[in-house]
Amino acid sequence: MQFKKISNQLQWIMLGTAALILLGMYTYFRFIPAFDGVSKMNTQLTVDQALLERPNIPEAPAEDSTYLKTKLDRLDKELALVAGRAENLAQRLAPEDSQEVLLTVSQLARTSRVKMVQNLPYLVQRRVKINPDTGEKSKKKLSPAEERKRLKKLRKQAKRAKKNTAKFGGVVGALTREGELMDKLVNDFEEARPLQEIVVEGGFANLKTFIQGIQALPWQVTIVKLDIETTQLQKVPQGLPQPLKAKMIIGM
Amino acid sequence: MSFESFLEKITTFHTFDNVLVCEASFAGLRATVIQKKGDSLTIGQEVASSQFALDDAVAEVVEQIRKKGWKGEHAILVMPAVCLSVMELNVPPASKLPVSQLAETMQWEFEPAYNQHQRVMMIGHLLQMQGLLSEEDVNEIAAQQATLANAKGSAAVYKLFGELAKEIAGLKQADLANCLARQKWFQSEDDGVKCGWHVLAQHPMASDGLYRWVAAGMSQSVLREWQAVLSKHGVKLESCYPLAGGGLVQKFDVKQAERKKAQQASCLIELHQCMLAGAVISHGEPAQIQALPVGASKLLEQINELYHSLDVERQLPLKIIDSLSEQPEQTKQIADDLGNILGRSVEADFMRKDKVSIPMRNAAMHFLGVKQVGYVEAVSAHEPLPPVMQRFEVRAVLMFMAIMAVIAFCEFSFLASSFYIQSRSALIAKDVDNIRSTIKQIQEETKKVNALKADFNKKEAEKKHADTLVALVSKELPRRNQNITKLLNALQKTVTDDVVIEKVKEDTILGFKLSAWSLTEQAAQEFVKYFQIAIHEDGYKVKDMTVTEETGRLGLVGYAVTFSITQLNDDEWLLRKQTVNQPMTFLTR
Repeated sequence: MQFKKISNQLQWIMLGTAALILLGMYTYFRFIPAFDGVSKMNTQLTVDQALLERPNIPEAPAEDSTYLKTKLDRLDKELALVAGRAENLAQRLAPEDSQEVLLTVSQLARTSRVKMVQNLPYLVQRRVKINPDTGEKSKKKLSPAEERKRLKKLRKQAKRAKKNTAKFGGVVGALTREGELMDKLVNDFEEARPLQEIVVEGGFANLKTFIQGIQALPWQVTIVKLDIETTQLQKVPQGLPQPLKAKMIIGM
Repeated sequence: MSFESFLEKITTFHTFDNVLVCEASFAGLRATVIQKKGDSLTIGQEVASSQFALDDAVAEVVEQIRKKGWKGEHAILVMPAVCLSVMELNVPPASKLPVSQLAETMQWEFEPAYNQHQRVMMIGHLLQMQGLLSEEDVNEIAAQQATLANAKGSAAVYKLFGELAKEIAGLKQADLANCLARQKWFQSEDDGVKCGWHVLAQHPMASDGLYRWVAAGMSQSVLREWQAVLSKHGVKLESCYPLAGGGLVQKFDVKQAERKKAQQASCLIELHQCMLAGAVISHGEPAQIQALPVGASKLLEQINELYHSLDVERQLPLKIIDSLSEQPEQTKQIADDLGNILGRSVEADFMRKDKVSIPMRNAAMHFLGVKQVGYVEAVSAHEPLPPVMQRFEVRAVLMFMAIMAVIAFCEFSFLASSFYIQSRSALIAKDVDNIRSTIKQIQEETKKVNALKADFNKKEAEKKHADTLVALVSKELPRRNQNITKLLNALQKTVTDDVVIEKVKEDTILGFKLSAWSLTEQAAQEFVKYFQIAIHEDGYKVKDMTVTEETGRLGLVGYAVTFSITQLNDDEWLLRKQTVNQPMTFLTR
């Protein structure tokens, strides 16, 4: 190829193109990486210098980790002790889903000569627990499949509760209030303790015997609410004790 | 070295370090190998051939040179057929004209000087030089030829110079043929002229604004003839240099020349065997160059004629460089005679014939690029090259150099920046590392402590919860049952025959609300008092007691008694009482 035969314009175009390609390749493969490298080094130097001028060293924690470990170990031991005690005490609680307690209570009513007017499960909704650190409901984000599964389970539980309620004529109670015993039984345990609404009729002495009998049961059964009133339905002959109607909620 | 020379050098990929320099004249051919060593030349032994046929002479010279050990293949030729001329043109050196157009312009402007130069190689002059014709014969034959050429009518027949010479001067046919054979090596009927040129000064002349160019030219066909004959013997003809004018160039230091540029003004006349050449040097540059054929007789008249045709100022120094005379005395005699004729002093240099001539040496210097050689110009055997800055390879090299310069600048910047940053970093590295390691240690310790604290808090909450449950199951629940029993016992003890309990209703927060009816107010008050005493030790207090008259059972008028029993203290009682009827919406934690 004879370059002198190429026109001036074409020569400049060829040279310009070659220059562009060369400079482009240099820029892409060398200049930009090298420039980035130098920039990073410079940034690092600036950061280092700033660090040297204003070290901004964080304050050391007030507590010593060794001391905390010791405390933690002590707490672990205490927790184990308490857990042991709790386990022992749990033996005294009535087994869940057991009719034995109810049967015993019915039997106690009969022996105490009080009339069992009503004996129904007392259903109370548990409160939603809140994460103490974040202040948010302890509800992790579920995948669509998990959400469907949870809703299905809830529907099933609601259906079963409804069925049970209809079957046994259960009573749905209001939300419990903080501080009341019922609230502790429902919300403080891992699983809410079962509650039962009992209405009995009888004389004061019999009623007292029934209540004392409840204390003496082999399981921990507690009267968490007690209302007593006189019955107005029948006129009691003179000399006979006034019949009373006691409505109580027992926690098992 | 100028920038353009530098560019010329770096873009010339093939450089020469030796060359066969041939000088061809009507008398014969001589040659020598000139070698470049640094900035100086080494001149080899000269060989010559006096064979009448110049192709045979070339063969003989090349053979002898080869025998002396020369293995090169490039040759340059110095000969009278090359015309050197100074032209004043309105063409600037930085002209953007294409080479072909510039060549055309140069050839057009060069033609008058070339036509005048042709006289040197006319057959009459050659015959006169060889002594076969006298000057009178030549003049007579020329006059006769002119008469015949101008004659009208069928009787007049145009005749060639040789034919007339045979008729008028009795020239032998063999001599004429020999002379014509030699002439064809220097002159051709072909009109094509090939030129080489360069500008003498980058700036125009102050007088007329024209640029002064020096150009060399010769017949293209003659050049091809010489190329062919040299090529036949394995030698490549590169350039042809002028005999007349080329010898006028003095080797001088460029810087010195620059300094003395203003003072350098002279007239030089060179005497060659076949021609006279004169040049006027003004401001260090040739202003005029002229050549005349030289005859065996009336040399002084011819020098005088050349001197006057050069339009020389009288005060300029006049110098003769004599390559014609056999002895130095003859040169001196010529100078003296000329001085007498012109009435001024004349310097003269005698050039020995057995030495390499000044034109040969200057041509070699020009070709080998040893030194800046004033105004020597050559006719290249190759196609003319455009000006340096217009050559593609030069532009490519310049562009490449520019790119390399940019890249070098960038690289240097990177290097310098990196070095600076690294040196600064190295100075503070130890202190920074110490600070970083300290911060890291503190952060790790903080993280560890935080994790332990979180674990501790969690377990503490667990323990608290467990404690609460334990307390609930072990104490609170049994106590609750006991309290109820105690309450019932208290009722059993304190309710007299005058009191009837109507209702006991429990609020799980506030406690029990008791409604009763008493026959008398005193009995009511006593019931409340004794009941309060009975339950006091269990932590119960009586609140909001009211005793109001009311009709009771069996229509008897008595007193209704209502009061609350609570284990809350006074403040809690008031607070809870206010909120007990509101729905409890706060949540446990």
